[in-house]
Amino acid sequence: MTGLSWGRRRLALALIVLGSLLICAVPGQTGHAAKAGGTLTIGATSDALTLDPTVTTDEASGPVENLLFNSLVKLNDKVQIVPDLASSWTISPAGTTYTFHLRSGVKFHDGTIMTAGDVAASLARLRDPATKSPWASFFTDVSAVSTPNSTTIVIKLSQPYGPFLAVLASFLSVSSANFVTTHKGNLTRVEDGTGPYKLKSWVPNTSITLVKNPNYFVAGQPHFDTVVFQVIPSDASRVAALRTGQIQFAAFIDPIYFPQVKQVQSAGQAKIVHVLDINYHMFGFNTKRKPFDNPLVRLALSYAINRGQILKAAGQDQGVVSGLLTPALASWALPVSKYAPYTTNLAKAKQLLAQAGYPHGFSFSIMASHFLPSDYTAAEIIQQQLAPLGIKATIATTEWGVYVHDWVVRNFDSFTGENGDWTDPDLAMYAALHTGGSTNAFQFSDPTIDKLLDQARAATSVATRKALYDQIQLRLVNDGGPMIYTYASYWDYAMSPNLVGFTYIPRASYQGLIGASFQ
Amino acid sequence: MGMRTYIISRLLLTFPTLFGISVVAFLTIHLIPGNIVEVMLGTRSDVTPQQIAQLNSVYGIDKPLWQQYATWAGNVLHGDLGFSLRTGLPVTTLLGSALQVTGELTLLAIILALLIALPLGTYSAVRGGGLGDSVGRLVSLLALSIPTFWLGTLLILFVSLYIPWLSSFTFVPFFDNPIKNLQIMILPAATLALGLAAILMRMTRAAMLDVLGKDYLRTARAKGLRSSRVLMKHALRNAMLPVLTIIGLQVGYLVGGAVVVENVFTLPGVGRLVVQGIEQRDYPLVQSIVFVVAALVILINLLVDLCYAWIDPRIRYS
Repeated sequence: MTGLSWGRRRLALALIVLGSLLICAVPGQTGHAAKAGGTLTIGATSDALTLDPTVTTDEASGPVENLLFNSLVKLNDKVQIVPDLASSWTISPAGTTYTFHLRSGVKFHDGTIMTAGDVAASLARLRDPATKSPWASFFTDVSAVSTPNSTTIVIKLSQPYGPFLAVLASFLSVSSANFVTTHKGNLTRVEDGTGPYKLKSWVPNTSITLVKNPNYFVAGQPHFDTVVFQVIPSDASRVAALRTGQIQFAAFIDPIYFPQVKQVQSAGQAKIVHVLDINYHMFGFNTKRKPFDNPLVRLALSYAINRGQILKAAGQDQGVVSGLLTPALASWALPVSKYAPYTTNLAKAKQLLAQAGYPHGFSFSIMASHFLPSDYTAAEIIQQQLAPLGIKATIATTEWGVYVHDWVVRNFDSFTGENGDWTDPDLAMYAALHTGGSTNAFQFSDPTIDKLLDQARAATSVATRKALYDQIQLRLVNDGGPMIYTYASYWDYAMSPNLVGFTYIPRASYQGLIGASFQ
Repeated sequence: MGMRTYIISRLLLTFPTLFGISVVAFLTIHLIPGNIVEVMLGTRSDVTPQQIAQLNSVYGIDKPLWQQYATWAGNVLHGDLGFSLRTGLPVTTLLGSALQVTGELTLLAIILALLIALPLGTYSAVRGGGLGDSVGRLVSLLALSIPTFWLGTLLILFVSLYIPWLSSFTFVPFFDNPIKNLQIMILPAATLALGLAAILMRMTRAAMLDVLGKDYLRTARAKGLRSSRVLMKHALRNAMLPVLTIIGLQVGYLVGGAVVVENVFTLPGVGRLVVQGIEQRDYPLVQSIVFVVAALVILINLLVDLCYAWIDPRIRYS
């Protein structure tokens, strides 16, 4: 500033200061002034069982793994596929060849560079029968994997598979091939991912501590220095811990606790992100047992029950009436106004029962578990709603392990429970509704539905798939499918008032913390 | 019979008891429908029957029951409690750290219960029939009636609102930080102690009433001993035998109560571990916990019996 007058020097200084302030105030990716540092303590309902996503089946391990690993692609908050380790990809016109171009320079937590070979090895390990991954069956169409260079991987499928990208996002996590070999494939308590955080320590049944990965490939992320998953199983205790500031983040699923969480919010000690889950609550039938082998009976019950009442009583009115695909999958779900049985009509129900040969009703049992408290209450409500039709429903209260066993061996008349929409309608429907599907506990078989599911799975055009899934949804609800869909629940994500930047991502909700920080 | 002979004969008797317990522990968890693979996969996984068969083989649950029992029991005799099916960690490691928590919780609960029960029970007995006695008995009745889970949850809420510095959910072992440890343990210990204090108070009162009428106390007073010395040295000591018996019998109740308290207060103790193990059908974990806890209860009752001679030198074992 040599040679400028004093006035001009002051003006220049002011402009520099103002410019600096403006730069600092420009919102980052998440629309807030991200402040690096701090420890985020998350109240977890139970301890993780493993850090190996390939064999993870429990609900507690996933959140930790969300922060340790990446996949080729991931889902954003609108359930759309976006880049992750792959910066771009192409799909052949036939829909059978996927070519992924990887980001270069991405490092594993041990400092080594990730290559296409590591991605291929991770996929091979997932598919290897010796790994015994429950998710391997989603990759049976993979016929060949090649790595023409260190940043390109080509995956060939034996037939087109529309949900393949969603499957990759949900089930493939990339680990260092060398690390896996060194640990002989035992990754239960160790990890070497590329995620924003890495494992520091794990005290069983107490806490897992993760520290920031300084080499994370997204510039400026993550923001917290440390993330601690603190095991606090009791909802009441998690509310108390949030109130006292001992935890800064917790998910609440049981709507009974929503008022308590709201009280903490009203006291200025928390804020809540209220989101619609992608699971739906349902009342399912064993279609091999009378009278549920008759679709008219199933349809009659669908007309008889009042879903709004079930939502109010069982779901504490914290949700929305839903079909097979919940409104959270907005781009796929049909509005419930398309479903005739969603308007309760006892006269119609009676007529259908008479047609089916049950003019005076019948008796049956509903398997329900206190492990799913809302669904247990739903069973009680359904029991009352069916009584005017002469239908006597007995609730078989079942411990969770017994419930799962009876579900596996199909030892039930009917049951209340939850099903997942996952992140693609094929994942929501195929295994549960196709003849012989592995989660088709209803033993349901409809050749028309089978054909539509097969066509939708093979289609690669979103518009074509949407049209097919619309037909499936209408047929399953309006023609007496094996399930009566009732509602989808809200979840509450409660967090400290100064925690900003959290974005809810279905089925990977803790990935939404990657861009979060303390203000 | 001398003390040594008595101890040896009691220890010999434990072997058939422990064998019976091992069979019961093994059978009860195995006979509940469902297994670890089913619980692990739940109702949402897309697995083939071949994968399920492979997983059954990995966890050893495809073998005949007698073979599974023989393998487990044989390992236990060698001091090997096996590995948790769910976490892969040695059961010894999991149980060792959990026992420290439950042991501390139980010990603190007993100490607190005695601190409450002995003075109150003595006061109630000395003031027999009076207002103090009536209030004491009413309070003990209330304490017996209050469900542990309800009290624990209420205390957590109350403390988080009005005494936030006492509210903590991060367990710290005693030898790492005694102050922090006691800050965490005081509420759960008090919750667990309340029911026991009520029982001990009533037992102390009844035993003291019996002892207070004895001739030797009248003699002690006639000899000019202070009232407090008569009560503490002569009356209470003789009244302690039945109180001690109750404590020994209540250890099993305390461990059971600890299951609820540990889950409410999020303590990584044996109670929480065994509940998770049962829910997940983690056979080696549950079998070993039941077996070890049963063995500890037997041992503690033996120690309680041995304490009789220390408290009352007239007692001889036969």
